[in-house]
Amino acid sequence: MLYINVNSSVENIFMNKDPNWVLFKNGNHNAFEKLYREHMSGLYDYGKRFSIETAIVEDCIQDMFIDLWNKREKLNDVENVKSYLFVTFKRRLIRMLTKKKVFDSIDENNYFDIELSVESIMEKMEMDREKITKLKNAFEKLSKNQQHILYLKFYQGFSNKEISEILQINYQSTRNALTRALTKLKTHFIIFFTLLNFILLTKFF
Amino acid sequence: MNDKYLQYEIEDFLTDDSFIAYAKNLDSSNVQYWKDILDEYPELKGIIEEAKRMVNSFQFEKNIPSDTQIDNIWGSIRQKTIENHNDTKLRNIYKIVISAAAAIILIFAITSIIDTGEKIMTARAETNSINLPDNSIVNLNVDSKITYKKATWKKKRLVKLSGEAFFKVQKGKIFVVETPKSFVEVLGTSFNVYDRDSSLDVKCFTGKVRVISKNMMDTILLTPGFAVFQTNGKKLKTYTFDTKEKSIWKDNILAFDNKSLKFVFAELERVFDIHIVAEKSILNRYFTGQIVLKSKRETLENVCWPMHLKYKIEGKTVYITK
Repeated sequence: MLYINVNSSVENIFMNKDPNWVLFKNGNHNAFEKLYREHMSGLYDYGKRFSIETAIVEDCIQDMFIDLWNKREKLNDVENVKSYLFVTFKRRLIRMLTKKKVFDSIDENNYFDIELSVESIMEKMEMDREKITKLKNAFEKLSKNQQHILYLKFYQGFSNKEISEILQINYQSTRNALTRALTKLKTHFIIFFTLLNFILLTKFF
Repeated sequence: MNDKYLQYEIEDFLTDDSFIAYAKNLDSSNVQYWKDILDEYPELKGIIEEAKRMVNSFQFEKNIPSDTQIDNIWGSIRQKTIENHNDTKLRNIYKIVISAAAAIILIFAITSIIDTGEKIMTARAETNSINLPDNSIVNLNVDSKITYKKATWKKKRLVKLSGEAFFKVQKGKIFVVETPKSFVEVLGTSFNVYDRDSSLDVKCFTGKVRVISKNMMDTILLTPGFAVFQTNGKKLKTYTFDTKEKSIWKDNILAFDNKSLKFVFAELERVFDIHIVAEKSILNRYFTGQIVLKSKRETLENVCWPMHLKYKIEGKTVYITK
């Protein structure tokens, strides 16, 4: 019985948690490095959406990780390390940009900058440039908030719940905004796909 | 059972986290789940294909950091966190009391067993070869010092160095040379480290060597034939050298690449335990070339002759004039 207890408690420590986070909180510097290397690129890309000034983004990532290390004993156990880091990072970056007077609006979304890449889409799918450009324009007409959500969803791979945590809006609003954005873009796909289906079907019969 | 999917529009699939995991082929359980759905409702095939394509068409312009950026930032984080490591721990008063008590007990009771670390020093005109516990070899140049801990060697291969030394490291755990200005990290290799006054110089002869500058937070990975130097705390600069050519002190050769005579004389002072006196206009001249270390007189001749200088030896002092 005792054996089982010991075993299950060990399991509990790591259950549903990133083992590197647990180890890092216990002062393991290697685990800390792993966390950094795992999340650095994602954070860097996210930061560059708000500021083209690389040095600011770099400083912000650096300071955040140093802070995390110094406060590691006081940090909570987090369920999702990636979204926790994104929330912390965004807060820090926006504070820094506001201080530097790069930002003067309350709505951070106004500064979120993102573009669909025509080249990458052409690589991924057989779609001609003109159609993709139309899709790209449609994407640009979406609100910044919708673009932000689509980015977190399809580029960073966050779940709806995580997105609502990062953007500090409730779960249902996140879903609604996402659905609305997709509906607006859908038409650009539908035209293309029905045509494709038609071709496939005629070939088939 | 999953009739709801029959009512799904494309956007419903795209807001479904498990569907996205499937479309992006992220994890097997979701992939299986959606394959089962497709088997059950083949009429969904068309819309699911469209939804999948839409997921994959979200391709954005990317901002990807370079490996150097990732390493450099890590270098700064590492520097600030490893050094603070002990400070933050000490904040805890309880721990201070415990460690103080432990320290007192240790000092009074078992002084003889404490591993204060091995310390090896060389004076001017004296070199030494040291075998480390794992048979790694350190050739210590003149006027240099290394310290390491025997007791914790198996856990941590750390050597602190000031001056200059050539290392031949046995393969194994990471081997770290800490100098006043840098960390040099290797696995198993041979390399030379020089850290004196305002200059740092690390040469890699075999294997891979990672140099981390303490003040600039630079990191550079060296492969054989590459070397790095730093003066006055500026950025690390790499250069190449021939690993086969005998070019370092260990082979009784001093090679200088556009170095001031002040720098060259400082080296000679250490090697021969002499004191060189020369006026500033001489010291500021630059010297490039290799000097084979022979007798004091021959060596001085080799430096002075190409520079059109004269020298006069008076005991341990050497006067150099135009």
